[in-house]
Amino acid sequence: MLKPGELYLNRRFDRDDLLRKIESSLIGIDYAIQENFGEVFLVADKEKLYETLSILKEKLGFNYLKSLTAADYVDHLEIIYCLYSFSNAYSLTVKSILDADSPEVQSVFSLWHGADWHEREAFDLFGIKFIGHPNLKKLVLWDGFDEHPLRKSFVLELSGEEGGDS
Amino acid sequence: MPFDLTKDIDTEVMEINFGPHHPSTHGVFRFVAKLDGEVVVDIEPYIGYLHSGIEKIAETRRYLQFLPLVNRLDYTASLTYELCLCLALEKMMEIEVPERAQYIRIMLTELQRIATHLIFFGTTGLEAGAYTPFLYAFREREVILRLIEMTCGSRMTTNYFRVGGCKWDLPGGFEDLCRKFIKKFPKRLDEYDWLLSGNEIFRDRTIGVGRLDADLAINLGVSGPTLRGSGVRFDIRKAEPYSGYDRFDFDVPYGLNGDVYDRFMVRVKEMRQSLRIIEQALDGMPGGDHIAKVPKVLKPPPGELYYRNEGTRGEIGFYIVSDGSTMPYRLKIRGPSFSNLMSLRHMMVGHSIPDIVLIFGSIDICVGEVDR
Amino acid sequence: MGVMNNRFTRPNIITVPYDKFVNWARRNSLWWLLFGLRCCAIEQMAAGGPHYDVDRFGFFFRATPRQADLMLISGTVTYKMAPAIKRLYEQMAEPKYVVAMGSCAISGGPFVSSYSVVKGVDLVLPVDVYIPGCPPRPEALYYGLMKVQEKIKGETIVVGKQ
Repeated sequence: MLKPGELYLNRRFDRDDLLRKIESSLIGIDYAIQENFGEVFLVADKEKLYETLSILKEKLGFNYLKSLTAADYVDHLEIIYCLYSFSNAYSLTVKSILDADSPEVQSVFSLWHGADWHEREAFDLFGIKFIGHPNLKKLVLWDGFDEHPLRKSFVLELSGEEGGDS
Repeated sequence: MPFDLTKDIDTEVMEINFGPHHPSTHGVFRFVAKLDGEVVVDIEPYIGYLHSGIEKIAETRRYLQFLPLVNRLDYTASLTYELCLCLALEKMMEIEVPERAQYIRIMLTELQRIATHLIFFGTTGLEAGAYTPFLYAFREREVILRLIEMTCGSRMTTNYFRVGGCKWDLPGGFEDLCRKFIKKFPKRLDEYDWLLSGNEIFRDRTIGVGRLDADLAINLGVSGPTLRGSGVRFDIRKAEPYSGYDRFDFDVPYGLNGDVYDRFMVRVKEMRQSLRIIEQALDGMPGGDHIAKVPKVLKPPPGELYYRNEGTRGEIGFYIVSDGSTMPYRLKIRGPSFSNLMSLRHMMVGHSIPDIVLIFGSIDICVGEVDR
Repeated sequence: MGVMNNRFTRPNIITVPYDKFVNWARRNSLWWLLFGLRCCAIEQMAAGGPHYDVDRFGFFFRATPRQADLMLISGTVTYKMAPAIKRLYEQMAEPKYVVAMGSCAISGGPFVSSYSVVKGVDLVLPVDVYIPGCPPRPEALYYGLMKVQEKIKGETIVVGKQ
């Protein structure tokens, strides 16, 4: 981290440097690296997800959680963490595969307090349970609406044929 | 205190509801404040009163059909959201934007940044108890809205940027009106600024109030002027320049204490820096096309991408999962106000009721981005 | 009001000047509720600003529903917010008027296919005037407010003649 008042200017990072550091820090943990449009993605195992994220925070300096979201691929769910490091300017996305019927994952509230409302929103809209979250309640939906709208099984009434054909 | 009046009295914590309809909550936002006398002990925010399910609608719309909906998220600066979505799609489809289009985009985005910060300036004055800054701010804003209406066709929810550039070129009288605005506005801004920041009552009410520590801010995911007021001088336009911002010369203001006054001054100084960018864009506007050659039907290749840019309130992020078809498979929108709002309870504890209103206004949220 | 209510069944020498006077007083001092939901709220604020000054018509914004006559629904109404809007409407004193501003309030607007948006505020409240637009310009808002004033002009104390 730069000192207070110092400008963060043209912060680029070397991809190979990041991959080498990941390899040297995540010893004993299975992971896979993907690349999409020039960005680095790390697919981690669900059992060791919290350990992976805490090693990434401690050793590689990922102190900023940009976004925490999920995506529904009918037979499984994917949880997505977008991370950024202020000191090294690394940018990484960590993904993990969850069970579709009863998705559960360890909460990262203790690592980044900013995950608080992101996890509550994922719980509300997808039904993912975050173990260890201090206050897992509904966030954006109203009392009495118990469905999870962002799942593919929930179909909008008026979605119609607007974008159906090309 | 040597003599405590409440020592033998049984006191309880009182809960007061600042409901969804409240003149100072900047839209529909509700929080319950637990008060010990007049001092805030804890607050619990409730959001979701404006949740319109945009992310689910995105899965049933083609990208061009979805662009007008993205305007309605941060309705005061709708071009910043459009810019982020267009840049994300251009990165996925590897389209190069012509230089003239980049300059037009930057110029209009900075005009809207000034317009948004003017609303902040006016409403901060209202919250501190002064009515005139509101009138001055909205008078200046009318000129900017006329410029944007002349170009885009609509005052607020424009629908102007396209993947590859802009929908049409700048109209005829734009440059004259813009130069007149740039000449007149700085002196007026100095006068309005001195109205509030030179006022002793305003300074007493805002200096030292609502401190946010830099490490806590980064842990919470705070971004934008709220983060820069706490000393972290991080602006995505300088740190990861996009759309041609590296060709412009501007400064990034910051504050060191992290209180309400610093956040207010950061935004007022940002207005001046935006004026510098607009002037450089007008002086150096290249000729050429206003849009690149783009296929009629937008089909990004399969894959995922997180793209971010600097909106007026912080970091706007789009996480797009594309499966190769004309509609996104999943589109997640990261609104800056959603993360900035999480810092509210840390800032408000220990302050009294009149400070609540000022602290809340200093984060400058827009409820459309919080609830989406 | 009071002594004049439910007394006359035909217009006569008392009701006509009374109607004229009371309607003139009511329509030239409509106080609206400071209540904005989404983008139309910014246009509502601009209409109250210095360029399109709304105070010259006698309109003034009040923060509490107890002192307001007119409620401008400006923005998307969601299922979570609808009970609060209904309660605000019930807290206003008679005579009260509701104006639906913008397409979100008229019929759901761009978010009509969403799961959490009420398809028009007239499913929750009785609406007097609809102002189309997304968002409507301040001049369009004035046209709608003039329509409310015309509606008030046509009110009468005579029973059964509304």
